[in-house]
Amino acid sequence: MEKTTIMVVDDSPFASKQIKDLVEENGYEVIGYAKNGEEGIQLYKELSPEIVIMDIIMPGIDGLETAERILKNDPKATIMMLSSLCDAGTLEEVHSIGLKYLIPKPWEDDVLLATLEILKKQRKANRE
Amino acid sequence: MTEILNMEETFDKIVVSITESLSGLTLSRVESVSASLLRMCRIIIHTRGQFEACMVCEAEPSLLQYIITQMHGGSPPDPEEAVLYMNEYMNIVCGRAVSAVNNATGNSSRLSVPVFYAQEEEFPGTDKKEQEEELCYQSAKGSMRFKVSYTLH
Repeated sequence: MEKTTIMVVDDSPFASKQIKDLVEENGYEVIGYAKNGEEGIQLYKELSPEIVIMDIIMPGIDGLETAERILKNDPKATIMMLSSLCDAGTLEEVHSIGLKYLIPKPWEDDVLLATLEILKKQRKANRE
Repeated sequence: MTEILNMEETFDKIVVSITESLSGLTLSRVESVSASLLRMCRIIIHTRGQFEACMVCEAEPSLLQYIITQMHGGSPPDPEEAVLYMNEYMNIVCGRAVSAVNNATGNSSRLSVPVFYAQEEEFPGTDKKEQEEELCYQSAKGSMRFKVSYTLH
């Protein structure tokens, strides 16, 4: 069975390593990392990952703006936001750009995996 | 707003619980830490928005080294990545604390990217704000002090 491909956009090697270890043990494949928003936008164009896991607080353009720019180019992009900043206002901002999910850092592994499963199913339904 | 949210208690709970969650280390609150120990590493984060703050974590290098080693699964991260691990620790602690403040104020203040200063580096200091909390901790791996200077607009 083909693995769902993931790109991680996070300036923290801690988060990137943790995500890679977790998702690759659970049937996903991390095909790219970006350390900031600009890199993330470029890498998304090159790799077309099925799911993007995106931090919010990063050097340069933040994760919300990065997600917005990716969605402008590909309105069907599937993006999960990840941040230590996880209050109601930040969640509203996530919703305002058309995304549903904001996972708090540090995350619970089962919550992150369950959210990935939901996104995978939604993506499949959207593309059918 | 301070009557709704006890800032000292909020930050204290989050510093202790996040440190334990990321490293398994128990921090014990103390009145103060010895001035001689405060030749420490520092990590600084600012916020902008209704909660305008400058948060500084001062810690003995041995303590930060222990935390990031645990975050890296028990072996130290590469030297070129160590600062990024320290910054991520600060980002998670401050992000969760500012989230609690945001939920209490009904606003959404934003965080800057953390900046790390090694022991030998000159620290630029912090802007004066209306209020300040100082939280001191001891642990088996060293001491730490969190300073939160803030203005609630």
